[in-house]
Amino acid sequence: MSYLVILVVLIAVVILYVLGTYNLFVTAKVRVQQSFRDIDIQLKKRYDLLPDLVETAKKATSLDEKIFTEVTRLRSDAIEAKEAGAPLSQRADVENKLSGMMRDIKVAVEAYPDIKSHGELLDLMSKVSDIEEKIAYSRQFYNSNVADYNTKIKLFPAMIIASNMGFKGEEFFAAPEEEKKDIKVSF
Amino acid sequence: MTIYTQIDENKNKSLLIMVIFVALISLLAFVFDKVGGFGYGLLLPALAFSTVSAVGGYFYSDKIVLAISGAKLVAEKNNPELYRLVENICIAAGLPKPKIYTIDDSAPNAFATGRDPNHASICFTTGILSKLNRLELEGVVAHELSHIKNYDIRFMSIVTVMVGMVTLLSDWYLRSFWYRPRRRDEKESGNIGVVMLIIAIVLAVISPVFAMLVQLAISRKRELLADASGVLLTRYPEGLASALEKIASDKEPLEAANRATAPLYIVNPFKGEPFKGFLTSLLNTHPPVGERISILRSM
Repeated sequence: MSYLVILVVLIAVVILYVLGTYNLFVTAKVRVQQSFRDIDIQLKKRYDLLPDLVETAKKATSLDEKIFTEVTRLRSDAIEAKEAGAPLSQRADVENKLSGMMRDIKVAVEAYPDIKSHGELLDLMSKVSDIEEKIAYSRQFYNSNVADYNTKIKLFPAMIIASNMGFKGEEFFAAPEEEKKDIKVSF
Repeated sequence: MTIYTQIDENKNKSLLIMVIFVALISLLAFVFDKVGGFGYGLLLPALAFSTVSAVGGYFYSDKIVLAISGAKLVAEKNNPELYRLVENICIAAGLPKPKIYTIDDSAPNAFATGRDPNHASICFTTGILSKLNRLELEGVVAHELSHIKNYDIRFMSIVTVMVGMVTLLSDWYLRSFWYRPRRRDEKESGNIGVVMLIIAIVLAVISPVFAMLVQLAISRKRELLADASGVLLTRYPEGLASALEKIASDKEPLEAANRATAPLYIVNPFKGEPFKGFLTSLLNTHPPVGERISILRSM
């Protein structure tokens, strides 16, 4: 009789543990997905802003045409990768190249003589650096959520439940190496 | 210790401090009832008053703190750069954007208040906005957002309001003793009356000191934690380090701060009056800035 009670209690404890752990995984995974959507929102804003920027910069400056065609190409690559559901590493790669281009354009435009007289372009440039910053920060938040989730499903004994229930680690959104320099702009 | 245990701890301690507050006020009222022979004439109103103010303090501590600091809400169109900066670090922290306030004072300082991330405010002096560069300001914002994220703001704001009130009340009690008209039958109340009188005075003297100690014991580790988690957001320790350096080396005292609100600020707003001697370690509300800077620089 008492063995039966012990057995029932043990089973109950295990079931509760499994349920609790499962919920923990789901919460962490939802956080990862939500924060990925936040990155996507910022990336979408960038796609929308780019044609405008290219047009305005073309008119206002005589920068090398190659920069603009390259940016336009990267933008359509990025949108294509997104719509094709490409793996994150591939998307991150294109987006990071795009970020690199934006930095180059920014530097080139700022070095341009009498840039101060082009209000529209300056306005667009400040929008661009705002979005670049938001992309960087939302990527950081996403990555910290991924790290949190990946740790949770890899710790023993929770990992047994994770592997049986099909929880797999999520991919990080790789940050470009030169990222940190970009944050060091002065006000 | 993870952020979630910090949050739980802050929520529990907030409740505890409210209970202590009600108990302390009621105890004081009880003692004065006994001394003055009012029956329960003070206890019942005190109980009602302290309960109402504890609950009110929970919901309005941020508004009270902002009001006594003379903070004004900033409209987005008046300072779009500041809005953008706060908004972007909020993205990194995964927090909703807090309300942004400024205090018109050239001494550089900042604090955050509110009861949870959805009801949070962040407040800057005009001095900090003009004296720090963007990177330093980012460090400060990230520090304050960390206070918001781990519910330090709830605890600290409630403590500020409660401690402020305890200090005010016991001041008032103490004064009422010196200026009370002497009654004829007082001498006849005998030894018990004298003992109760002594207890009353002791309580009135001790309670603000006790309240201060509670407040101090809690805020020092918090600042170090918020420094560290803030840096996790900006990934740039030097920004906060040099901000702290600038704030600490600025000699101007912040007029809007008082003893109750001082622990809320990122750096102790009372400058040039360090507490010396035995009580030093007890009475400094913040860890030494030098220590914080060297921790940041070693990251």
